Amino acid sequence: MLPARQVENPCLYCPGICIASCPTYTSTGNLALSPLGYSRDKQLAVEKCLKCWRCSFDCPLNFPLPETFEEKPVKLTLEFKKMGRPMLVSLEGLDEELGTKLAEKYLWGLAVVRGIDERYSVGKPVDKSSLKNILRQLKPFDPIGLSPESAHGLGIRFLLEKPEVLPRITYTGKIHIPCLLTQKSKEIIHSLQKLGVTITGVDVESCIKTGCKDDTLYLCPRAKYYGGTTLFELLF
Amino acid sequence: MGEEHFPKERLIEKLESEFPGRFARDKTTLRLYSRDYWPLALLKETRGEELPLPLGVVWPESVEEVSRIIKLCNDYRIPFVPYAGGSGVIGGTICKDCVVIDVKRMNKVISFSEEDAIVVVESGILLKKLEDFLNSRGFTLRHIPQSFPEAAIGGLIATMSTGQFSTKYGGIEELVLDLEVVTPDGSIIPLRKNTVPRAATGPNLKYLLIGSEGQLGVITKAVLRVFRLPKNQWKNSYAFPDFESGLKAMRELMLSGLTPAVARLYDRDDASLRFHHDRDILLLIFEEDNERLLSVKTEESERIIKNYGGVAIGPEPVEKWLKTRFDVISELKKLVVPLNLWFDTIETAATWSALPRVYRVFKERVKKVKGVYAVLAHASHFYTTGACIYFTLTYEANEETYWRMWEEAMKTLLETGATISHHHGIGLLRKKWVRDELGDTLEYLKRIKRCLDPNNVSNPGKWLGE
Repeated sequence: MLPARQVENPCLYCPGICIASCPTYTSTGNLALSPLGYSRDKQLAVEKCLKCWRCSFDCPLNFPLPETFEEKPVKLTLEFKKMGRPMLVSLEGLDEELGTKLAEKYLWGLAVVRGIDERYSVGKPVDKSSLKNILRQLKPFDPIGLSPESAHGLGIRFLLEKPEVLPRITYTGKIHIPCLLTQKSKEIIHSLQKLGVTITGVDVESCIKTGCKDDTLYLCPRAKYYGGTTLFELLF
Repeated sequence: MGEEHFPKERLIEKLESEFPGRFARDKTTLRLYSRDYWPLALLKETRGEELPLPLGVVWPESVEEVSRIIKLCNDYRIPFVPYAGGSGVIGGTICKDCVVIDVKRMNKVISFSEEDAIVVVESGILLKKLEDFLNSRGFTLRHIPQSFPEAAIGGLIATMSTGQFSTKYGGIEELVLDLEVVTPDGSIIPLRKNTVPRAATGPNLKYLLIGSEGQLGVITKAVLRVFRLPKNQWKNSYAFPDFESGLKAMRELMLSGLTPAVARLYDRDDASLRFHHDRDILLLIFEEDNERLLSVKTEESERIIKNYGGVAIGPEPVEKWLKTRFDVISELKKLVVPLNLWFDTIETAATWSALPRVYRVFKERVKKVKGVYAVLAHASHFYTTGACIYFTLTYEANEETYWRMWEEAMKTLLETGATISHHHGIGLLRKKWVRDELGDTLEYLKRIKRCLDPNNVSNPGKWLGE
């Protein structure tokens, strides 16, 4: 019998099938700042990888490289701030304040999850049992993620996937599709159009962490830290 | 002239000061740039062996900067190697103590003319990005190799690449209208003063650079022919009594002018692994703007295929291939590495009269090599004169088996009248056998190399240099 060997990190064998989707690689041309580099140098990955997950979406194996940079999983905790349906899920340290204002204005529930942002800032895996526990608690309240991070990290719907809870939005111009939601581009565009947005251009390539443009509307709460105008400003 | 002592250190200082933030020599970067996707180099890396490291990597942003870097390399007699996508499979970029000139910051589309169906690009543009650009304007380069997701234009030209749609649209050499190049002494060979479909203005230097594998300088710009995205596509697959009948049918199609865009004839071993079919099968894609033309071509092709014993089995194998065609990692992860095996591909081409023997003898002999586990074959680039056969090999993951297999493979191809490479190129891998195929022609190519590169600094140690 031949000895069996497991491939734990397929990136070490790959020519870079996902590489054209990596924002740090396409902006620098440097292989070190690509999934090929990040899979080999974890410290570099923690510092430089944007954790946008585009590589994982383009990988034939959907290998979750951006959560392999630290071994110790992050335990998630949940706090219900305001009961109601739908339950808006915000993340501590990212969009809690925004979530509080929106829940107040639109009479939604509000829950705050702690820990998940580390998945998208450092590159930690999520502790599976704590995730399961949180989802069990959220399920009865029709949870919707305020940020792409909460939608992707918890596997729940993004706010724009439930357009019926939102008001009409007056905006004409370019929009940006969040990296973590590129696979839901069609649904998001459809929702925005349904809400009255006239879309003149769609940016599906850039990541807000490399900078925001003045003429584009962003759907990530995080974009405000990078100088971008967000959809959420139009909801008040 | 540069300093006589410590030339490496002096050159490093120069590059650091002239290219701040765009010159790197940290361990991670050097290791990543120490190889392309040559399976032997990858095997060594995964086994923890250190590959020959380059001196550093520099990312120029203009042709003038490429020229400056190369002049510095000449001053200090330090070699350089051009680098684009890094998707080559022949060790063409492995160059100990070389300065790697990575052109990927030179990645602009300079101009696109819909009327003339011509695009002008910098050589560092990723093929996928260029194709996206063209597709959004209703056009296509139709150059789709398996390395499509990671390859860049400069590298595809330098290795004389071909693509999955080559049967209709040709290899890269048929798409390149003109090139801008920095020669090994740092001079710039500009684009022509006009862009024309063809010109009888003497030998065209572009042919010298296509396939030069970085040994004659750095390609910095390319003028490329593009095509309108075809409006209509037709797909089907056929089972044949044997591989040779499939080849005969394809010969008839090609000589009748019924050229498909894609034709892939898998032998039963290959078909069994990829499509779970236990017969030799042919996958066809025809595409035309004109629906009537498409229908005439496909009807006539089906008639010919039937004459050679082909039986239609539906478009599913084509659809499956379209979905999985760039995925080189799934099989490696599931079937190759866990069994302590390794992989490689050997692509060749021969005339119709030689092809059946090339196929038969190659499979027989190479399969007998100790340590070789499987030899699968498909023909996938067709011409009026013959075709390319692409062998996929798995073998025990060690270097001895690797070279034993390659020795037998190259000997067999040369003996049966086939080429040692259809589209992967020479690099370090096939260096040993080039003379057996080119004969004295190699001497003339070497003379050109010596003339253009008197200091032998442009990717030395490969097949044109010493």
